[in-house]
Amino acid sequence: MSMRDRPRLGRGLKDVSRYFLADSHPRGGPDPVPTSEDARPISVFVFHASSPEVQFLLTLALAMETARLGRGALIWDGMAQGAQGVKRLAGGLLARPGGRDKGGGCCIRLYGLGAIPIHDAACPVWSQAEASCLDLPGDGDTARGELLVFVNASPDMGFFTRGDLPDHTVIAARTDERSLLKAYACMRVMDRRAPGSRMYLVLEAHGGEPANQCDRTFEKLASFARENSKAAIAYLGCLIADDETARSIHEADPLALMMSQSPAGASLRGVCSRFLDLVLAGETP
Amino acid sequence: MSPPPRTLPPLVVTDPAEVSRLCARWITDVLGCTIVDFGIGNRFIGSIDVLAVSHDVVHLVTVDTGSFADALLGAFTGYWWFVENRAFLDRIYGSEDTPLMGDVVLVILSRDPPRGIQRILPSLLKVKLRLFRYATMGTAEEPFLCVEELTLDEDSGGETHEAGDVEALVRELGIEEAGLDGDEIRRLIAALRAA
Repeated sequence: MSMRDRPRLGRGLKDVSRYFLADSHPRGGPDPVPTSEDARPISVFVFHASSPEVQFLLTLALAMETARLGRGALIWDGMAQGAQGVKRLAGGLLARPGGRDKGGGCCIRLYGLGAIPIHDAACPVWSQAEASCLDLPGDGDTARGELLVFVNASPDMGFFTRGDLPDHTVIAARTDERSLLKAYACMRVMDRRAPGSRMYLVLEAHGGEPANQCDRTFEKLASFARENSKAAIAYLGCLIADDETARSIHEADPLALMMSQSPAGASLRGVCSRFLDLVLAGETP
Repeated sequence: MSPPPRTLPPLVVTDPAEVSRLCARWITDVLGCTIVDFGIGNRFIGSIDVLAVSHDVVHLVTVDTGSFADALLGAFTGYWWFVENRAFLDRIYGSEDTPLMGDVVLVILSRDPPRGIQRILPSLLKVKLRLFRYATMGTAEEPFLCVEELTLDEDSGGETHEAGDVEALVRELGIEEAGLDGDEIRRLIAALRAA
């Protein structure tokens, strides 16, 4: 076996630094020290029409990508209490908060980045959880103006008609008709309840389903939504579910941290990047 | 899906016999069947990887370990062969606890069933079918089978849903809050099915 053929025993610095070493900030510029006054909460509902576990995965990945970009992130898990839901999936990344914590939550600490507090349904209103995190110190000094609050939505549609309204709603669905129908129902509820909230769709592909098939499915759903309800939705892309996704969920090993070049990991990073590009740039989908 | 221990890694099992053994254990433990025999048939008369009985229902199980198309053909041929020779097989294999003259259900376990197959098969078949997706996890010494049943879309043969069906679907999905009526749901489904 030649050297070139040997499997790599270690990873390059750039690989491991994606989360653990904040070597650069994509948006550039000096980072101001965060204060409560600077924080401008942006609320994001995350909802999966069929799979709570993939919803946990997506919520966690969005929050981690937000932290990686040097923005404040908070998770309020409306689906779970205790060591379930997003907390279970975060696994070994969890730590107790060093600062004030009003919601009985804990937080994710990534070296060199701001802490990501996680509150669960024990903190009954996510806006309370949001307020509790503003003084929570992170490990790094990188948190900048925005604070993104990711609300891991409960699967019952009534969740969307209760409490505060989000600025953005990320709806994920599989490509079967039942899942798409539920996603459409979620769009209709949000369009009626929060017409100012921007909506985004993620489609989950299974069994080698090609991405362009997901693209066509999105076009059909978006077109129908435009014609029947005037609801506009942006496409964040296709999330590939494979054995690595299943392993990430079962072993509580966040897929976003796996540095393999797997299609699943790449698709998840792509979806998160596209969402944050749109939100942080303030672009209308 | 059966809840696996959280620390199980994915496991590649290349030996079809080993996969069949794992599936047979799952059929006994989870489906509650009594296994009558393994590996009945051949490439000419079809393949029944596991013949099992539960509450007078005969399960003809085919495990897809390579090509889904081959497994499907094997399952269909095996079914035809079983029905043609049922009386003879009942004399050989049947007993008071495991009668082979009851209703028959085809069971197909596949690692990677083709997309949309759960809509296609029910519209083509008269025989009852159950379709499962499986994954092997754990270690070579302690393999573990994760199995998920794919819901077959029994309505796939028709373009429209009856009013009662739509109401039941809305309740089942818990989407009453959206206030969708039957016409809108039918038009959405038609739009999604359009080429």
